[in-house]
Amino acid sequence: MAMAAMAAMAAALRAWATAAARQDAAWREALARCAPPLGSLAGLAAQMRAAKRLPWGSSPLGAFRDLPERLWRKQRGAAEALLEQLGGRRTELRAVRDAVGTAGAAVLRLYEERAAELGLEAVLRRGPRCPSLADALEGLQDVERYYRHLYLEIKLFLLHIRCDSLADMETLPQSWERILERYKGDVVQDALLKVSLFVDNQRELCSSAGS
Amino acid sequence: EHLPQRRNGQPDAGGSRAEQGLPYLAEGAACKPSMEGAALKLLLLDPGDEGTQRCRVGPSTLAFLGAKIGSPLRISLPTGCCLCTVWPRHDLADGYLQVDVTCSTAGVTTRDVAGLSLSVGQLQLLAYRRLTKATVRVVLKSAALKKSTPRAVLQETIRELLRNIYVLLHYVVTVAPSLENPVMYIEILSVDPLVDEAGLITPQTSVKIKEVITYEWYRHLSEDTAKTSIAGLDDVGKSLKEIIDLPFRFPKTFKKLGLSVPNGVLLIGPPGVGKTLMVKAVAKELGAYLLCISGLAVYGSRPGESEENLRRVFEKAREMAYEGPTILFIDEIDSLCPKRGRSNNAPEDRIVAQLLTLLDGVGSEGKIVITAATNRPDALDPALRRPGRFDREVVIGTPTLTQRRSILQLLTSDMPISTDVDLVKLAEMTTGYVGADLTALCREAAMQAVFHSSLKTVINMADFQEAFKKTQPSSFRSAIGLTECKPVTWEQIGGLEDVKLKLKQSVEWPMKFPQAFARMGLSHPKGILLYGPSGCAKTTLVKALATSCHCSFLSVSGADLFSPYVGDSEKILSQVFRQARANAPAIIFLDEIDSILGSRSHCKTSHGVSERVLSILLNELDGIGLKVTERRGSKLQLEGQCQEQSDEERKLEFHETLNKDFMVVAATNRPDMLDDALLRPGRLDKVIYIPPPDLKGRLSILKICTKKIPLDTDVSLQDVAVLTDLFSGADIENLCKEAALLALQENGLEVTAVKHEHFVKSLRTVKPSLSMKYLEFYEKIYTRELAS
Repeated sequence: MAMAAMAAMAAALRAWATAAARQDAAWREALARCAPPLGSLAGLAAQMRAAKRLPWGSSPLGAFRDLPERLWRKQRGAAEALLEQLGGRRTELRAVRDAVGTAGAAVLRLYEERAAELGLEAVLRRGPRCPSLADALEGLQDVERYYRHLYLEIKLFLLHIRCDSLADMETLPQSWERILERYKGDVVQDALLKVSLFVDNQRELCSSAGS
Repeated sequence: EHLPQRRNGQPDAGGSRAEQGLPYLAEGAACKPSMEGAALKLLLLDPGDEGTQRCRVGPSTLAFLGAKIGSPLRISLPTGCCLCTVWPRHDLADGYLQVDVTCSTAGVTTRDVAGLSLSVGQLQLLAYRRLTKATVRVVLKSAALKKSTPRAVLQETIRELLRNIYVLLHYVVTVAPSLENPVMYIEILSVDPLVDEAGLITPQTSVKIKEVITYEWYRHLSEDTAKTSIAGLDDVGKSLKEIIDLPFRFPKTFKKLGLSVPNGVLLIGPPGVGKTLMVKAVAKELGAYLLCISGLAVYGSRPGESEENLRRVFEKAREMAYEGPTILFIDEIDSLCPKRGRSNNAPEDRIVAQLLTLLDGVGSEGKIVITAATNRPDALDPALRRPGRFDREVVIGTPTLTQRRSILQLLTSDMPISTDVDLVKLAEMTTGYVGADLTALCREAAMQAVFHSSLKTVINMADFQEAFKKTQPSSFRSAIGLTECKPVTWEQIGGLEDVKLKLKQSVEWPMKFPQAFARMGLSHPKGILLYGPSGCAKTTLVKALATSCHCSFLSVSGADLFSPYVGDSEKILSQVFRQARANAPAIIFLDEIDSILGSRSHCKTSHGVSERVLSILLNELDGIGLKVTERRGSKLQLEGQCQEQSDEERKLEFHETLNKDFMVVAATNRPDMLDDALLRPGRLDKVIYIPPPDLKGRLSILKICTKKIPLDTDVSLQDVAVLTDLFSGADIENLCKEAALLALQENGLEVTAVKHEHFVKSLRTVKPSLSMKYLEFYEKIYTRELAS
């Protein structure tokens, strides 16, 4: 009975792990692709600031009266385009978060359904090479929370980008780094490792308990 | 391939058990009944678990609870409850508990949690249900963030933050601090379906934000709601509450009536009467946010910094006013807003001007009430004291007898006092004590009780008496003329029986038997003049008087009064009177009054200091009224409500009305030098002649003086008394001393008794200080006094 339940759990976790590994790759890629637009935004902000400081009247370009305004509009347009790109990255990130969240929720629901069959002892049993089911579930929850929190942070960060405050815009890459720094821990890798160890070795755990 | 199993905060003993597998799980089931009382030690949370809503327990606790991993668990802590999901510890050790307080009742923090022990009974496994709806109150970090965060973004953020979190009604979800996140706490106001079990917030749950407040306001709301109790100031409190409360409650009515909201109250009163406490109590009662300004915090070193600080405080008050009623309290406003142009101090004047303009600006917005407190209203800039800035001025005076009684009642209500403590008597004793002094008195009494025995848990009257000796009213700490005199009883003064009676009549009786005086329509005399030859116990009589009636006793001499500055003497004298009024009933004793005051008729040079002092004295004795700032108690106290009061209450009030004044006792040996205006009824209306001791008086003085001197059997005090005609009391005392010294001198240091011959011999050297001529002079004045 417990064996069957354990096997079902292992299967579910295996499915989750493959999905999560795939999603994690997508997540990393999306994160990496966020950095260049942010760099460009910072550069754009520096340009805009310089254009504001320039004494247009005394320069040879002074003859073109609407030049500053047109330039400003152009720059704004560029910034909007970059922001739109970033928005695209954000949707990708959200997709990853949602996918991992749903997959994790499915595994946890399965555990809840079969908890009675499994019994506490089996859930807590560890082997020398194998983490317990509780450890695996914990890792799964951690991953879900990690994506959720980091996504929220990134979303708020992107929402706060304003073209009015150029000084803030110039420091965007640094702020971005700071956020990533805070979430640097290899939570996902840890959890994936834990789950794969469990999936691969849970059989010997069952047999050792049986013997 | 070994998983990291041991983390910080985990005991070593558990680790080895975990490696052995789980041989004890079966035992866990077997010892189930005995688990109930087992204690779980609370450890600090692993850093990795922070913000995860997990609690970690050992396997046997898991087995006892019958919990699935990750199911919600309510943990009762001493400071509140918290809701967690239950997970096994990494090292599978039993007997320990780690709790993440992400979702808990308000006021539970990680700090309270560490180091406690809980029994398993305090953990309760809950069933859970997915919520369809939840209403929340959101607490943001600051008002700026509140303004800058759009509602839609906030809504989305809250949904994200609450996802997969188990909640209970009225629990608060603490959000882990992060850079971009404006949210600090989320309070669950209502859930649907409403059940006792835990609710899980899923992506499908619709979360509604009912209210967004700032952290500051939240902290204000969640501060302990224990009422600051205040007694004896009911009427003042009522008027203050009315001013503060009305604009908050009925802003629309005020607008409709076209009234500008009153927005300033100035509290005036001596230090320690409870001005600050009053404002705090009222703020708490109304649930208003109290923002305090103190002069020190405002002043800055750079030019313009102080003004900037002031503006910032007002800006903050305005910000808080968006959230709810706000009281801006300026304590010791006299330091912040002194009279301008007096000291040629431009920076100070600028601060005053800034404060005035800021006060004007506040009026237009409402929701802010400015209160200020001062004990020196005269030092304030007059521009401050007009409607529109401070609309009302409330004077809080030194507490009267009934007020003191109610303050004492309040203070002792939490103290274990024995039945012999008579609060009315205590209130009578503590004239001139303000609330702070009474608090000190009670604390001191409690300390006394502890000193006597650490086991005793009741405070009796003796402790209060002891404490009373040690604490002094604070208004007396800087008082002029406060004297400590050795207590003298009436019995220590020989003879002068009729004088003693007269003094008792005019001073002691009105204080002790106010009903009788009231019944007979009498009022006590304003002042008493004692005159007589020097050395005849005038000062000693006054000492006895001060001892016998328990009231404040101020003694003023020329040394206290005269100063090289013009006008200073008058100021000091009027201050003495002001103190006496504040500490009524009081006796002011002016010794050698002829040297303090001149007489306008005798003195040739006009405009001397003594004339001015005299005019002050005349004014104070029989002036037109009191200054507004010296008001005490409420005006309406005696009217109207007499019917419902018990006899005792009425007695108290008699006491109060009769004793609300002071009495002046003056002594002189040159009564002819005094101004006539001083001696008329209404001022020093009782003039008592203290004659030199007659034969009987001398005998009793001799008896008192020789009480400590061993006398031989041959000494006849009667004879000595006959021989000492024209001796004053002081002379007789001197004579006794001389005789004793003579005995020592003649019979060596081992002498045990003074013989009669010693008295006779010393009579040769000690001469009387009075003379017939001198006495005639007094007799003449005395007879003239009788005749008039």
